[in-house]
Amino acid sequence: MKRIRKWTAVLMIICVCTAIGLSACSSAPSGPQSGGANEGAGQTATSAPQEQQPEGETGEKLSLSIVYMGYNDTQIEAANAKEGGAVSQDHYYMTNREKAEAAYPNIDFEWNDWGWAETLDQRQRAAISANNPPSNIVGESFIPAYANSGILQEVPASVLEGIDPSFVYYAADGKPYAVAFKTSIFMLFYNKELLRKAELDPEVPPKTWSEFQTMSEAITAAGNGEFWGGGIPSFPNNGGALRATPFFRQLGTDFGGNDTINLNDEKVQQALAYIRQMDKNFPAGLGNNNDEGPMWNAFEQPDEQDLAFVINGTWEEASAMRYGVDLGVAPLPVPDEDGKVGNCLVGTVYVGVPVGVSEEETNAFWDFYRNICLSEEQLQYWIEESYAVPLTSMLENDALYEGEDKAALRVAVETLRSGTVTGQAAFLKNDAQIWEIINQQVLARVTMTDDPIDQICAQAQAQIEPLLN
Amino acid sequence: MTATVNKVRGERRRPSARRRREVRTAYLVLLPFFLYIAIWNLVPLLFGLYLGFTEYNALSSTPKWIGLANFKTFFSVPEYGALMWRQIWMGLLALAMNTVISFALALALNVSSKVKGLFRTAIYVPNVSAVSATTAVFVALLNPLADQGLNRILTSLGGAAVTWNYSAFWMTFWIVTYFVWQRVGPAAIIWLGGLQAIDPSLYEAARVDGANFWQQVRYITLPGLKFIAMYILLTGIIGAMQMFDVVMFISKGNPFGQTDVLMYRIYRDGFINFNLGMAGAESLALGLVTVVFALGYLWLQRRNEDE
Repeated sequence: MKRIRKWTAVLMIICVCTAIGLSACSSAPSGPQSGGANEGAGQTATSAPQEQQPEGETGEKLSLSIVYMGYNDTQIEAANAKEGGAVSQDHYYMTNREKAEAAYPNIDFEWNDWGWAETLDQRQRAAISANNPPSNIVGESFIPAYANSGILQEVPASVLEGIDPSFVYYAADGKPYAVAFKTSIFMLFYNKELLRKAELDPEVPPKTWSEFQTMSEAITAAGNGEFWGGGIPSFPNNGGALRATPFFRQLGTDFGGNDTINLNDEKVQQALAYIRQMDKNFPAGLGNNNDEGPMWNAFEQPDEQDLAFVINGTWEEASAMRYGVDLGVAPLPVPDEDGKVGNCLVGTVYVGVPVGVSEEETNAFWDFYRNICLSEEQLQYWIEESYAVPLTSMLENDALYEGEDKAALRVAVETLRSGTVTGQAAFLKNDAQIWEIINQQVLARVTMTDDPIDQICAQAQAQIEPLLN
Repeated sequence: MTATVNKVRGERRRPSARRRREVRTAYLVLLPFFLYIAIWNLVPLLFGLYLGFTEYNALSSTPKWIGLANFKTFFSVPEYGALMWRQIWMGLLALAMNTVISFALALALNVSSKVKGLFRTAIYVPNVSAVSATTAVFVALLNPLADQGLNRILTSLGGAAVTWNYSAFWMTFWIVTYFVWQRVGPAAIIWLGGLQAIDPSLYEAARVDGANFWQQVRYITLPGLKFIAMYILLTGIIGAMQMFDVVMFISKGNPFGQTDVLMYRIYRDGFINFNLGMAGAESLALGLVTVVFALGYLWLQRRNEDE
């Protein structure tokens, strides 16, 4: 019996040691990514395996593990199987791959589909924390967190040549860590038919907050429960904060940013009061629903089209026209007094290179990105999709934005040329949690209840402040 | 004293060599399963506990040890207490509804009928359907517009449209309804298994003695299902304390956080906010509360048995 117990003990020790050993192996530094998070930009790992050396030095191919910037076989198959065939954005990613594989025969490309938003963030963080980062990372809202955590390399100056600064993400230290290949801004889209029904001139969109409110109220009154004017969405998710941000910036303020939260600011509360007023021109629950779908359907779908105004990115133009909306486009209205043009980048896809990627790999990636992904020929695909692109040569070229189907993009490009538009504010700590409080406890609550706005803001401010410390 | 112990040990029968070989073989057979559990359950569990004492955003290689700071935050910020309380009452409400309805369904299904197989399959199907797909149908039904979803039915019957997403009551109602709709099938099938294991002669004897239907349920069925009930309630408590996907898909914790629960907060802290240390601390707290509830239930059960 004693021997049996001994055997049992030995077996259990073996099991536990094996389990610990296996789990330790999974997070052990490996290959060229052996540098830690603090490894400086451009540093080369000393233990880079042979297969990652560029041809010419060792005769072996370099490998690039590309995220998002080119389609893999499955994605190509899915794009081609679409009804009506692949669309412009599919062609962008497919031809990125084709051109890269033709231009760099010495590089083995791996094309990763890691999804978008939360899925992409999770997969990128898993790779980074396992010290096995891909050659590039992409993202929108979480790029500030990456950059401010020191896990991105600084973008080389040569990559930024000829790029509009609006497309570059500069972190809190003032250095560039990511550069976007497309972006958009918010504007006002309206259904001309509903303006006519309310006896308003469809060719004269609102220019100021008061005009916007007056016109929207007139349409809601004329609709008498059949159609509505619409207002500023306050979805309890980031779609709400993104669309509200331009109205704060028009007053020269914002929700906050870095280590500051600004909800007690009078101008923030003034903008919130306006958002509350405008929400009355939505059917109850539409402008602040968990699900954004019903609002877009109300504007676009042929059997609905009962919402006169929506605020969205430039892509709305193509979508609404597809459904036959008699579409009007205008810049966002500005406050009547001391108002200035204010907006927020949206639909931006930033690209950067994580630290720990070898110098050869980094240089090869930026070469591919700059010469193929950011080439005029490739970026043309995004203009077809009504997105603004980063090359100043294209941004300044009016000829690219002619035609009725480019009205929204024309307005967006004019705004972007001012160089004053930035992305949504980012907080240095607990960014996602802070935005969740702003979206749910401030924006949605302002439009769902009649609670005093200063009280709503004070409560949220008190909730957020400890998260910034 | 030593001599007595030795004497006692000496009296034990030493296992034969064959028996020892058998035991060794048995452990070797079990080894892969033990390894599997150690790797996929034990190590992550211990790592999760460890994370609760660290600051970690999954962007650096190693978590930073910060001691009890996350637990201090958990117990000092009122929001976490509210989330825990909501997890408990919403979870237990859903569990109670599920237990009662599944039992009633099992009673209804415990009859001989040619279509009983069809009914049993029908109540089980929601459980094997994808939560993301079926909740999408619920969400579509909760469209706030008067001419869409459930409101279309309400208004066509002359009622007023309901702005579902403005109401914590309605969102809780739909979360609990979905939870029960999705889980009632397996529980009913387990109840049914228990019902069919009860000796029919007991019912015959009761009927001879003049017992009516409810007396038969109270004095034969319920005592006969004691162990089934224990299984359903224990697993139900654990399931209720882990309820989050329904909240995430149906209400997202809204209106303005009034249907938010701790398990959904853990998910968001862990995989959206990437505050993995805080998520670890919250998980430990929720795990402890779940264990307390489970042990409390077992204690009550044992006390009833003793009485």
